[in-house]
Amino acid sequence: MFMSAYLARHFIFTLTALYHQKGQTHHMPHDTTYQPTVSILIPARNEEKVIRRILQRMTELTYPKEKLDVIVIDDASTDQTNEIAEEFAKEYEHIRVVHRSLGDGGKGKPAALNSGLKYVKGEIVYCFDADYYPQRDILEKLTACFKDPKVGAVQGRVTVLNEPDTLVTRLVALERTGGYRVDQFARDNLGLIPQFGGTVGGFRRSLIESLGGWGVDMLAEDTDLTFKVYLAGYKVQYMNDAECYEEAVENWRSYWRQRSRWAKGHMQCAFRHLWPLIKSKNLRLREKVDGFLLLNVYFVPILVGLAWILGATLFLIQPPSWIKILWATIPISVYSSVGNFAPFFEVGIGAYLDGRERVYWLIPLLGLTFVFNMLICTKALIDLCVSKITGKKRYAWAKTLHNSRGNCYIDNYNKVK
Amino acid sequence: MVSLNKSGSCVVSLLAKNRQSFRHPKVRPNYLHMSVGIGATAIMFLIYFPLCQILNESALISITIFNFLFVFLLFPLEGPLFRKVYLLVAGNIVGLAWHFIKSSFGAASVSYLGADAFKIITVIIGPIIDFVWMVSVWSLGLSMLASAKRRNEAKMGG
Repeated sequence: MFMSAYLARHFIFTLTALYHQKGQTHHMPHDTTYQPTVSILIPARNEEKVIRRILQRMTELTYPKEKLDVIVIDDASTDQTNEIAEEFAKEYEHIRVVHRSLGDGGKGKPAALNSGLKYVKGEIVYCFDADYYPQRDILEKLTACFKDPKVGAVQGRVTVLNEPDTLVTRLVALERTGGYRVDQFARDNLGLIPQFGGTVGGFRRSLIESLGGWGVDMLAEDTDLTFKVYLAGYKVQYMNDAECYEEAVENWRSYWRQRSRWAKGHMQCAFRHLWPLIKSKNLRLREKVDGFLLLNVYFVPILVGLAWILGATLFLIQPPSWIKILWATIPISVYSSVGNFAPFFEVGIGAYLDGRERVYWLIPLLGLTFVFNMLICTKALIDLCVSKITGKKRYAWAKTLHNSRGNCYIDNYNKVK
Repeated sequence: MVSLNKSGSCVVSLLAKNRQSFRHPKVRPNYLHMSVGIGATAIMFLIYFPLCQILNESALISITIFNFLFVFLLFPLEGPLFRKVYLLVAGNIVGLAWHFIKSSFGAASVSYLGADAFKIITVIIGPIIDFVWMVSVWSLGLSMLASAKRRNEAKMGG
């Protein structure tokens, strides 16, 4: 039942994105577009290679500068990040820098964002990572969603900037395509739970303040906030046309570190929000079902891995009668191979809707990332259980390292233009 | 004001009606192509029927799953019918070839590794291996349809 629900979910999302999309419409006020004051938080820790790129972009945004306030949070950087940010702050009035000392800083992105939140003046608070590169009119597109008073948070689309670099960046780009163009888009269309992704998105300031800011004890503070928003009676809206480029991880080691943090964080959220989600009176049944599946999504690879191991073991041994019930794992292992065509379908259709041509050849290789994620999720669960039993924190915020290779794609694009 | 962004989606600002609308190109499922696909699959199974002594159930199951996925998920998409049928037939040939190669390995594993190894290959690893060819051929099909669509759009654009 559990596995079939995921199978059905993938197919429903993909077919919705393909055939039954409603289009995204936002009502605007009379005579003028809706443009409240906006603050953008950019947490940066040792990002000297990429910070210039996003700050330059902040000067090129089409949103009225008198309503825009950009706050760079220098999270105790030991490189040139601070100097570069100060350089921009001196030149542009709407850019400010907040410094965190060596004692306070370096405790992760949520802590940095909370320190920046104290200085926010705008009605809407956005967050962009230092390695991101948004569209010029992204704020207009995202802010339009807040005209609806039920919308508490908004999420834009993330696309990979350095896709041609390595096999890992290509596979991450495919995952992103499926995740945003199909998954998030369909959730928004079906009135389910689009997820706030931690960046390229924002909140009403009043809401984020009432929720206590970003959860410093959570490794997936974005998922945590998504559920807090829904439990508070608001919703998250996904805006597919509000695009932003990111530098994806380039090798398997970085991929492991990043996904491991996501897996642990997501599992933390599952333990924290599952019961409040079920009990909540603010959510409809379909939102509860989607929320339940979303919270448990990182347990699926573990279940599939277990089914494979158990299935193979049962073939090799003569099992006693009490263990025969475990034969039920065999259909799961069969499902996980043949039935699990659904995520590949989702990614393929995402690329098709984006008008891509050659990337489909890489889709079978996503099987590799699935096996990799099986190991990552199993390790994450073991770490969480051990830390729960021993009381020792076995996980800490692992910063994703960025180089500046994405810059060359932007330079080339600007030259061509 | 109507403009087209890089992903091909249409951004429409209808300020006269005080709203901003983002519309994406809607795909209409091609039911006629899907019906032809079902017919083509039925014909292929009529051909397989006399081959039942050579083909075992696992081969038939995997080819049936492939045909089901291909006809219901790829045939409704935009693209020339001839190409879709060609890809379906090619996929079936790959599936048959794959089955014979897998059976040969299975037979070799019985001789050298014993009956347990054969069972594992057939029941546990078999679906995973079948899945590799299914996804690969389906991806190849989608790639060819996307290329055809792109060329068609380029022609239409002059």
